[in-house]
Amino acid sequence: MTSAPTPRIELAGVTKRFGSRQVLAGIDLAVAPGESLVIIGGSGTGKSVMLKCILGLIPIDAGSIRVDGQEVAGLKGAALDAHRTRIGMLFQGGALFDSLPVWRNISFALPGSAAERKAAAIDNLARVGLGPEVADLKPAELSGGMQKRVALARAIAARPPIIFFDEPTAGLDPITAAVINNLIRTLVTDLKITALTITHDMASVRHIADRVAMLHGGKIIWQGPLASLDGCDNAHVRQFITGSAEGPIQMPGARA
Amino acid sequence: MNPPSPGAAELSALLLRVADGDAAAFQAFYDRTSAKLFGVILRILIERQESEDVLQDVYVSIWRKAATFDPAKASPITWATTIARNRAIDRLRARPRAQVPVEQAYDLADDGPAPDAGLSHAQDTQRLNAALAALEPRHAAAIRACYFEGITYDELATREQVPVGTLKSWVRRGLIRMRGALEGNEA
Repeated sequence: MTSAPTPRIELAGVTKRFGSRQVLAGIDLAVAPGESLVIIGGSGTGKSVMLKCILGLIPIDAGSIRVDGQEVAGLKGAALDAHRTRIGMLFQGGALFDSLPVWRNISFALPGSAAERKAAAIDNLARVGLGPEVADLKPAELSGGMQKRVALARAIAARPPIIFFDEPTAGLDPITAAVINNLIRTLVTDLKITALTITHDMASVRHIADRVAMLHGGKIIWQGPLASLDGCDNAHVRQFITGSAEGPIQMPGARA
Repeated sequence: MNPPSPGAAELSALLLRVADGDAAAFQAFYDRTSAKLFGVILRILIERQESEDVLQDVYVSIWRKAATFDPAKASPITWATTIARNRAIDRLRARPRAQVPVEQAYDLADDGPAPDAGLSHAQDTQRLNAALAALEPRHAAAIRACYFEGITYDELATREQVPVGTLKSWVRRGLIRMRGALEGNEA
């Protein structure tokens, strides 16, 4: 049997505490190259914190984070910049520059003349299903769904090998959400991107994931291929995916 | 000065009433602006409880300082955002060293021209916007994000996949050009 390839991203024993809250209590997780891993778990369970730790925005207390076998926890300066330029992101709030037209937003990180950057932006707009007429609009002139697609075009523009998606369908109507889910799945496959997605939208999970992992109590309590999600016998996972108020997961403040 | 947007005009009117001690106007101003100011603070401090504490402090300041707000000099949201950003930076710097994750974002003040060097209070918003408009668009956008919207260099670098050093040099060069343009106009 051949040995498995080096994981694209690997977390081992990662811990992080904020004040009295142990948000990450020993995360062990691996994402294979080209794989789409979706992390599920209740609000406030530390999923976003985990992404920010990998990006070096939040320092970890203990543990190891490796990307392509290289330790990235604790990187600073040029090494940290180099690490971050390999990871695109589509986070909540999209956060485009209001003062720049769509094409300058999409091509912000790209080199070259303005003409070259505009052409690249229009290519990436096409990849997210938007026409060139959108290129000169300002973000404020776009609907929420179109802004999200522009943010997605920006995330892929520099062709990073890794993209993080944080609640990519939050605030979108079901039809627009389906369009976004579809785009993410297609682009991740076509551009051979390693994707790490956080969501509590089960439709997104089913559309985007190759594998699913559940974060609860600061640890990964279950992980497996998408196909094994529905048959999973972990009570926490079952409660989450069925959206039930009954089960081992207690809302904070609930009486025992 | 460019005519204010309808939103800005309403917020300015609320602040004028707050300056007179109008508690209902203060509540309305809070309702309209607290989400945005919380976002500014949270991006800097990251920790939620601390950010909520700072948000309360900021609105106490706004209540006390409303009389100093001049709608001819700044938009009301820029005025409030600046208070929030400065208060969050002060709180960040007051933390014990070992816990501070992103203070490198504020090194620009130590190794380049001060952001408001050359800008006196007589500069009005229109000339500021004109000076920004004369810059390379990406440089102006970086200045708006880091100086007026409280986004840290770290966050902007991560969001845009541009190295922190590149962003800092864009901002530094942009501010130098702006200072030149604004000082040149003062003759």
